[in-house]
Parts: sequence; structure tokens; C-alpha cells
Amino acid sequence: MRILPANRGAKITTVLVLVLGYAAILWFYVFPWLDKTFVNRPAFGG
Amino acid sequence: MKALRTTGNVFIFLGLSILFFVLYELVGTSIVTKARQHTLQAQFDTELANPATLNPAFTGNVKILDASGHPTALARLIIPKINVNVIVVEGVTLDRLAYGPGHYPQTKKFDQKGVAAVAGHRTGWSAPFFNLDKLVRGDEVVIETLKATYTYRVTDTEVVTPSHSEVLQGNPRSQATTQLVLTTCTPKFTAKNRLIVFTDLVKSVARKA
Repeated sequence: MRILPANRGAKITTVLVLVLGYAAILWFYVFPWLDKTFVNRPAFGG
Repeated sequence: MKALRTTGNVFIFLGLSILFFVLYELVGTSIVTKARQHTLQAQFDTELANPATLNPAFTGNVKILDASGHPTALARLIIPKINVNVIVVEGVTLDRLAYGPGHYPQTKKFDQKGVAAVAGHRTGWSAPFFNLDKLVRGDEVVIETLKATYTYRVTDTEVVTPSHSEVLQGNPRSQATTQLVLTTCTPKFTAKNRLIVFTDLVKSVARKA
């Protein structure tokens, strides 16, 4: 089963969009959650 | 063979994601905080240079946010031994601490008698308290407000679990009426415990308007 398009340009664009989308989700949602849950809670009640 | 290759790719993918997280923690968050601190330092210097714009925070009428909703500069915290020179904002929520160390609202203001407390990040967000564990008894901590400069000396350090918020009431072994308590995460890179640094006020010099 072919997942990526056969055309070279379309393939590069698809991979780029997927990678950037994944990075954005990590940067704006997953990492801030990891940061405040496991790494950074310097205050009492903060 | 194909399964092995897929497993290898998954591990590479996860490894890159973890590397990306380290980049976020150590570089990304610090860029944000440094830019905000730059603005706050300039704001504080402007207020210091112009007594007419004295922040009403110190007369009881606390101005916590500016017109666009950003925290304002409350004081400057200087810890010479660990090269800390940062602006303190009001509040200790993670949103506020992304601007710099935060003053616990339930504790006394820096210009009042009693115990004031400040929380700061140990990892990421410019990590102002990264080396807080290097402080020992006798080390100097300075708070500069628009009203005065206060010099404190470290009296004790302590590691407690996150439920021991009574440390915000000050050092029980100190007789000083005015104290400053600094709190941060410990060990580094985890939120497991809290490192507490107790200090006593030893000198205050009022600013001349």
C-alpha cells in the first residue's frame, strides 16, 4: 500500500507538512504539559 | 528484517522527539523569558530614573499587570554569588514565572515588615535559580524596589516536599522580623521537591526621590 504520493514534489510537501505539524503539536501542547507536570513547579500552590 | 527496520525507525523518531524536548526546555523557553526580562529591566530602570512614575504597588495600591495584560516589574533581585540579576513579578503561577521569578501574593511585600517569598525556575525559562543550591549561610541576596534597597543574608537552606508550604512563613530558627524566602525545584530537572533558601534582612537603604 502506498502512503505517500508518487510525485516527488508532492511527497516532499507531504512529509514537510507532517513533520512541521508534529513539531508544532509537540512544541505548543505536549512540551508545555510535560514541563509543568514533571519538570517545573518551583512554587507552592503555583 | 522489515520489522527490525521499522523498530529502528520508531526509536530514531522517539530519540529525535526527546532531543526536541531538551531543546524546548533549555533553549526555547529561555528565549521567551530573556526577551520578557529585557523589557522588564528597561521598565524598572525607567521607573527608577523617574520618581514621578513610582509604581503604586509600594503604597498598597498594587499594579500587577500593565495595560496589555503583561506583569509589571515589582523589584530587582540580585544574588551576586550566582550571578543573578532579574526582575521579580507579582504571582507564582507558571504563566507569571515565565516572565521571571514571582513574588508569592500571600506573603508580605518587599517594602513591608514580615516574611516575603519569591519562587523561580530551576530549569528552563532562563533558569534564574539554577545555582540556588550553591548559596550557603552568610551569602548576600539583594532586593531593589522603587522605595529602597534591601540586603539579606542567607541563614539556612532546606529541601522539603511540595506539601510543606509552611516554609513561606519564614525560618522558624530565625528571630529576624523581616525575612526573604526563595523557593525552587530540586533536584535539577525535576519537580520532585522544593529547595528553600531562608534569608534575614540585615540592611535597608531608602531611595531618595
